[in-house]
Amino acid sequence: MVAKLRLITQHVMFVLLTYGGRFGVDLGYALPCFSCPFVSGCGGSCYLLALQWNWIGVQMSWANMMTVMGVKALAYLGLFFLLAAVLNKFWCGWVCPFGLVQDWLTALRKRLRIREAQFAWSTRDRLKPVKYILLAYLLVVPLFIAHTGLHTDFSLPFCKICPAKPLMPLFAGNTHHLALDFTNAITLVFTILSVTIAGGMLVGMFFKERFFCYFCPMLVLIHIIRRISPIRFEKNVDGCLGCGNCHRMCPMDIRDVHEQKADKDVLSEDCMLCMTCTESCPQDNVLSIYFFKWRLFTSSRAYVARRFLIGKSKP
Amino acid sequence: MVRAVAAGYVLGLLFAIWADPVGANVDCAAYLYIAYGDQTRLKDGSITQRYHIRGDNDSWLNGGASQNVKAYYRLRSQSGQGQSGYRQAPITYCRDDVTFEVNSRANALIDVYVAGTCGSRRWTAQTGHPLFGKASPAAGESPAGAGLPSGFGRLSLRPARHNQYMQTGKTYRFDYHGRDGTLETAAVFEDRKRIADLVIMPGNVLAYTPPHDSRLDRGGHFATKETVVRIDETACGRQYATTYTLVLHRSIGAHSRLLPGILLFGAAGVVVGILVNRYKRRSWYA
Repeated sequence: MVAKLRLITQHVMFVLLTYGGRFGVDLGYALPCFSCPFVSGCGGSCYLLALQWNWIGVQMSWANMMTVMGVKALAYLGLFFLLAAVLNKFWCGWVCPFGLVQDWLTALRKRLRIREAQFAWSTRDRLKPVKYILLAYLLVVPLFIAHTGLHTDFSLPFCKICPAKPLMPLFAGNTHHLALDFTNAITLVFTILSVTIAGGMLVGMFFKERFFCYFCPMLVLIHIIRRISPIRFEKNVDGCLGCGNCHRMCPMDIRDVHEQKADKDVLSEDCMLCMTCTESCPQDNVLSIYFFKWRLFTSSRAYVARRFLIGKSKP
Repeated sequence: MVRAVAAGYVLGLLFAIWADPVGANVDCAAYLYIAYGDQTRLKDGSITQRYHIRGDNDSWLNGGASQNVKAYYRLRSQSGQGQSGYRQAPITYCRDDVTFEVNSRANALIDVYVAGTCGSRRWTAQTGHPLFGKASPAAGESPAGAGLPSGFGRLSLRPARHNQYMQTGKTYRFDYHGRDGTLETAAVFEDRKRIADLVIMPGNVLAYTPPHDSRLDRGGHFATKETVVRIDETACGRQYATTYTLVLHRSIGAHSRLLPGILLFGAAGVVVGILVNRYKRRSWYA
């Protein structure tokens, strides 16, 4: 039931965020998900664009911080953190349009009966810092543009290499971002990187579920404020039998939930709150997701029995 | 003899009186154009654009002709709606510089119009561009404006609302609304240098496709250059010189090549596919 609800929500949000602008929907520039602003007619814009752009516009001079522009930039930052706090990782698992594209590729792979590629744990650990490096990159490069006179073709540095930029506009019939830009050396290098990363990511996302999410700097930003979020993902460590279902079923291969033996907070950095682990946990009330004091969903032996034993699951 | 000398003086005087307006044209600029000045973001979020009024030479200010110049502007919303008429902008004279400013509180398309006279010459200088103001609307602001002065030529860029980001390599068409006189020349200038002649098409239409500029291509998103389109007309013994200043950016899509991009995209996918299959974890019994 949760999986179906999630799938419906993802599709509704995909249509709203990718095509909503054509019907007058404007959810602003502070969305904590990859709703790509390069899609013409999109219904809202990923905050990473505003973060890179405002960083140039406002940080250029401290005097500008005292103007309406500075206040607006801070307001967007505040709105982003508010949105990220309210829904937290639900943005990734339930709203993100680029996440749904990855889920489509996974569904296609499963239909073709191709096994998912697995990383060695050492490889996975080596990939972990990449998202922090990307976050630093998208924050620092605009500062260099503003303060050291770095060429303005370096602006929006993350968008220039983000795989969503060439891929998401395809859903609006726009192939322009797959082209190489020969305007000058900088634009050429960036478009070569962009197209190469997009092609590689597309195949990576096919063989590995939610492959891009391992590198997503938005996950870091959302994770920063999980402490003040009303969303909590908790584990009753005493009730856990250690069956490992949560680890095996997790699309992000997170083993923290399985291995956590002391702390009840198991919302880890890569978690996207898809609730697959909770759906798969065969113990009553061992894994629970809360919004303030209200329990949204909890693990249940009966639920697992209905889902797996009566043949409703699709392995 | 005395009569002949007296007649000569009278004829000379009459000739001097008759010749005065023609002689005044000697100091008149052939045309005026609008050059863009600084853009200033104010604390309330509104934005102010400064414009310089320039002639084909710097001496056009000396004869007092600059006193006969007036500037007008109109703010329109991005959808093309907004103020119904033009408002006059106060002109500032400072040594050899004639400037005026326009302030916008919201995102708007600005149409700027300068009209001036000098002897038998009628100047018009125009431009249009977007201004991105971020302030809240001022209370009690009246959208009503005045009309443009009559008796001047005018160039209309069409369609005006789709030319917010003017770029090289794109064709711009102008409709000339003149005095039904004789159209003489149409040309394009950069830094007062004539760089191209334009053909005046039936219906007084001008078309100009700015060539790509390597300086703009290297310069980045914000690099611009100003190009002036000029048309001259003679009607009823007067000369009408009308200009439109285009602020050109580098082309967005002219240097993009889709096929190499798609080939690279496919190649990257194939390489990653091979790598994934080569290095993916395999079962210990495999």
